[in-house]
Amino acid sequence: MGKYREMMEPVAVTPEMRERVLENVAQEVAGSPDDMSRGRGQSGRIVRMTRIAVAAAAALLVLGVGLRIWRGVQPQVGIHGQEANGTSGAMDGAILEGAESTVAGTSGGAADSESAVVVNPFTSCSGAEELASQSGVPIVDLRNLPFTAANTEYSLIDGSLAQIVYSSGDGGQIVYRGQAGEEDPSGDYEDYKMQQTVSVAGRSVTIKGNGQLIYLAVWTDGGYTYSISSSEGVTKEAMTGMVEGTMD
Amino acid sequence: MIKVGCRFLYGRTGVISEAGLFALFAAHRREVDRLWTVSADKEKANAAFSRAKAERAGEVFDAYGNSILRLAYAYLHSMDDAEDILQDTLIRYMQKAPEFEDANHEKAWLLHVAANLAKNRLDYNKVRQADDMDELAETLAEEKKEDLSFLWEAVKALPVKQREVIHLFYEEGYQTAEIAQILGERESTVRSHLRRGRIRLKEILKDEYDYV
Repeated sequence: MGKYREMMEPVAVTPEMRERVLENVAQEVAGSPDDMSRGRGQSGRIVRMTRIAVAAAAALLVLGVGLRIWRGVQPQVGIHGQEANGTSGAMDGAILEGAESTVAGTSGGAADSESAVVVNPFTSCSGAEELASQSGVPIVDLRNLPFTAANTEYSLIDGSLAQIVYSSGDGGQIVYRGQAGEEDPSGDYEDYKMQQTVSVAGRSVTIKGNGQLIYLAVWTDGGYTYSISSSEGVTKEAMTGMVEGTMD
Repeated sequence: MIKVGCRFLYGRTGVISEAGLFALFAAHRREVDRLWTVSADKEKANAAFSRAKAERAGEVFDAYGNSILRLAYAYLHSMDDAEDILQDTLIRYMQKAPEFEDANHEKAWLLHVAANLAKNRLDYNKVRQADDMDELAETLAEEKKEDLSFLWEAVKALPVKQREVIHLFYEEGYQTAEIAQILGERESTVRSHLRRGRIRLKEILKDEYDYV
């Protein structure tokens, strides 16, 4: 991770770039007199476009009513035909919804950026009790942390993944996650050199690390899978001690 | 009222009276003064609003400029293009003035917009067959940082889907759930791209893999 960041270091903003970019941004968005006049122009365009849209909608309405009347007088169209039309309408709706989903996603279309909405997946909770209640995952605060936590955050991710992050204050973090099922909730896919399965309080726990440092522990308990990951790495004893603390 | 007004202005003779003319000028003057005042107030308000916007743009630039620039560069390999993306991202931010729950949410939004803009530019660059300047490769070569040059060439060789995940994971330190939100992908897809990207890097870098 360190080398990647070191590699990207030369790509950095400069004071000249700052000046250039902010000047252009200001010109684009500031409410200068030109912008005011442009604003009026836009209002005019909006009014014109609204009129056109209203006229188009009225024309479509007339066309739709006409079509319905015309179909109504066709002897071949029966109940099944009407049902088919209804299905078609529903499908159109579904296709439109699908299109909207595509726009909201990141398929790379120009509209993506215009309508970019990032839903915050994290819902903050006041403590472990609330987190357990909201997520449905039995989870309590970790004991035996390798440092005194300067900050603790309780979050529900995507409505089902419970997460507690303990920060040491100098960059170190312990992330404790739990979710229903057997999937590893850690999100840590580092290729660690060492992987072992150890028994902690009668349960099978997979620990991963490099050398003497353990970065990740994953285990399943009662239909839920938990993980503890350490940003700086801890000793095997420290990691199994934290895991054991959750099983009391 | 109209009749009274007309009589006041024009008098019984039908010719405009001196008093009427004076009143007309006075009313006109009052209206002009009022419009000037309104206009001056509006200009002051607009100027204050513009200043506040400029200050906000500066704050966002200072807080997230490098992150946006580097993400854009990871896609486009050109400082000019990356700067354009940074600028356009800030413009989107200022125009939409979205509300955020916290700084993390704000940064994720900015990176999401920047990623989409960069991907659009990537398509455009493919069409115009842009000459890739790649200032980062030049800088690393000039500084004789062979290991980092090797790493950058390996990262550049990755497919875009793997490269963006690798960048957000290693440069920004995001976890896969967060990357999934920023890129609008499922977490399992992100994990898959990350895993494949790492395997591909391992193949390219061979013994140098630990550099990542």
